[in-house]
Amino acid sequence: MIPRNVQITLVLLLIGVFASGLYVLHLHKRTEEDLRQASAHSPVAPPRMGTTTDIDLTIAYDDDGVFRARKFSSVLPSEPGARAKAVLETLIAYYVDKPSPHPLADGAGINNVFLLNQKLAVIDLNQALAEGHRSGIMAEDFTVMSLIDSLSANFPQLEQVKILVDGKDRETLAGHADLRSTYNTAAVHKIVRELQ
Amino acid sequence: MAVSMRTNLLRQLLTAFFCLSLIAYQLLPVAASSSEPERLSIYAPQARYNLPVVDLDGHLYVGAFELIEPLGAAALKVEGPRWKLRMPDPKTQGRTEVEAEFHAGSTAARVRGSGISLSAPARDENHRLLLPLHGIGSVLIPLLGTNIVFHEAARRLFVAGTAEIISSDLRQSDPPALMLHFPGAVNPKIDSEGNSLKLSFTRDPVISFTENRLLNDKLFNSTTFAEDNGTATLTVHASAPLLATFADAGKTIVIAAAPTPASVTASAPVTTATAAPAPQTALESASQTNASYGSSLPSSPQAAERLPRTASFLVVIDPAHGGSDTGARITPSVHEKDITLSMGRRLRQELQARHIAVTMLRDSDTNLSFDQREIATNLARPTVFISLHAEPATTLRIYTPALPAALATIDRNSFIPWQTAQAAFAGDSKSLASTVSGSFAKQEITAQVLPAFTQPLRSIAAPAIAIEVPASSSGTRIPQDKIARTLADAIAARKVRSGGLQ
Repeated sequence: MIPRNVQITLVLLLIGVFASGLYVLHLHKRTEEDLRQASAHSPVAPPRMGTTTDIDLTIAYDDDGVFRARKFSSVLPSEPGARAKAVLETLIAYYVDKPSPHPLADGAGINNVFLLNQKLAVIDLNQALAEGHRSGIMAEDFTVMSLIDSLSANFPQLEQVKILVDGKDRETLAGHADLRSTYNTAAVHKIVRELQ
Repeated sequence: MAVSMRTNLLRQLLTAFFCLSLIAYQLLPVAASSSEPERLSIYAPQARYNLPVVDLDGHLYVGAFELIEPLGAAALKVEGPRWKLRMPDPKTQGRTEVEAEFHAGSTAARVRGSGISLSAPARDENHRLLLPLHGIGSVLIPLLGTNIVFHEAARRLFVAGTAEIISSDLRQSDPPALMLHFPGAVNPKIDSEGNSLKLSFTRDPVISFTENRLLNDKLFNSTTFAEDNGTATLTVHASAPLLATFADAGKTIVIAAAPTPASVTASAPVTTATAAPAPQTALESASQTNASYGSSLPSSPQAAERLPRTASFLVVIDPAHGGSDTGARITPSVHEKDITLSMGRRLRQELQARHIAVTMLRDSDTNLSFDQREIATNLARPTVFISLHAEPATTLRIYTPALPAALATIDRNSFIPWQTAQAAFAGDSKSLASTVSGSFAKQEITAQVLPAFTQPLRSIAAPAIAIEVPASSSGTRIPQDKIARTLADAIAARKVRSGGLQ
C-alpha cells in the first residue's frame, strides 16, 4: 500500500514531467515558426538615404527565352562588397515580385557577395533561393547567367564569379545548372548577348 | 525509524522521477521529429501508383478519388454530407456505370446498391473524401468486380492478381551468380551497402513467399525479403561486394561479385563496345562498378583516358537524374527521372532498329553522380552523347554545352583537360544540335536551341547535346515515340554523313 502523500507527490511529478514535455513541444513549434518566418522574408531593400545610382541589370524573360538589359535607380552603399550585394538584391527582389518574368521562390536572397582583388567575386546565395528554385535547365541557367551578368555590368573589372549556397560549394543549383565551376564573366556575357 | 522511512520514500521518489524523465525523454523526440511520409502502393493491370496515407484519430486514411480514379475514369460528386462516386463498370467493359455512395462522418456506405460497413467513418477533409485504409477491400472488390490482395501492414495493394513472385537460382559457375527471375520487367532502386546489395521495389508488384533464405555458398550468404511502407526490399548478403546487371529485357537480375578495382578500367572499354547491348548495358555495369569502388577511381580526374574505340558509331544515352535525385517534379507522383528513363529506353530501341550501337548510362532507378556519368561516357568514347531531361514546359528544347570559361580551340587528339573536355568538340556539338533541330522541324515539332551550363556536358569528350522534353500531368506533351523516332532519324542521318557503317 503506497502512502497517500507519496501518491500525491507521484501524481504531481507526473503532471510536472508531461507539462514540461508539452512546454518543450510548444517551444519547438515556436522555434520552427520563427525560422519559417525568418526565411520567408524578402530581400531587404537598399537604404533610402544618399545619392541614387544607376544599376544595370540583366533580366531573364522565361517566356521568350531571352535576356534584356534594364536600368534601375537605387541608393547603393560605398563599400564594394555591400554594393555588389545591393545590386544583386535589387535583381532578386525584381524576380520575387509578382508578376515576374523569371519567378524565384519567396524568401530567395543573397547572403553575401565577396569581391577578391576586384577580379573574382564570390556570390553566396541563401538556402531558400536554391531549395525553392524550379528544376529545369533553362530556368536554372537563366538565374546563374542573370546574376553573373548583372554583377559584371556594374563591376566591369570582374573577370570570374563563383557561386556558393549558404557558404558551401554545391554541384548544381536545382539539379541542372553547374555550380562547381568558376564562371568567366566574358564567356557568360557572350551567351547573354546571343540571347538578347 | 522515521529517518529510514523518509530516506526510502526519497529514494522511491527519485527513482520514479528518473524513470518518468527517461520515458518523457524517449517520447519527446519521436513526437517532435518529422518521420518518413507514409504511403500506399497500388498495383493494378492499368496503373501502378502510390498515394500518401494520413493518420486521423488513430485510423489510416487514403483519398477516395486519388485511389479509384487511376483504376477507371471515376467522377466524385458531393451533395451535402453524401459523396457519390461513379465510374465505368469494369465488368461490362465500360458499357454501363457503377456507383458507390459514402457519407462523411458515417461508416455506412453503398456499393452497387448493396450496403457495406467501413472500418471507420468516411471523412471530408478540405473537400476531399477520405476512406479508412483498413478493410478497403470491402469497397474495392464490389466496385471493381475483381479480386484484391492487400498487404495491410506493408500498405501494398494488388488488384486483379498483379502480384508477381520472385524466383531465384544460384549458379555455381565461375564466377558464381545469383539469378533473380521476375514474370515481368522490373525497375528496382539498387543500393550497395558493404557486402550487401539492396533492391527496393516500389513500382513493381513483386512478392516472395520466403522471408529469409540461406544460400550456403562461399560468396552468397543469404537473401532477406521484407515489405514496408509500400515498398518491397530484397537484400542479398554476401562475403564480398556485389554487382547487379539486368538481362532478359529486365525480367532477370544477375547478381555477381563486383570486379576488383584493378580490373575495372581494363574491362570497361571492351564491354562498352557491344553492338547490340542487353537492356541493362555493360556500360551501366561499368558505372555501377565505379560506384562500388568509388575510392579506386579518381573523383575529379584530370584528363580523359584515351582508349581505343572498337565500335565505329556509338551513341551514349544519359537518362538524367535517378535514385534519390528525382529531378523536376512533373506531378506529385511523376518525376523527371521516370520520364528520362522511359524516353531513354524508347530512344535505344529506335536506334537499335537502325543498327546503331547504343549504351545507356542507367537502365534502372539508380543514383549516378556527374563524375560517374562523365567517366563512363569518356571511357566508352562515343560518337554522340545525348542527355535526356524533362520539365513542365510547352516547348522542346535542345541545349548545346556552354563552357564556364572562354577557351582557345583544343586539339582533340592532344591531352584534353577533363573539366573542359567539351571544348574540343564544341563545333560538332552545335552541328549535332542543328541536325536534330532540323529533324524536329521536318516533323513540325518546334524545338528551341540554346546554350546551357548544364552538367555533365562540359566534361564529355564527344559531340554532346541535352534534350529537354516538355511534360505535363498527362505525360510528355509530344508523344515519346515521336521524339525518339525523330532523334533516331537525326542520329542515323549523321551516321551516314560521317561514313559510319550501317
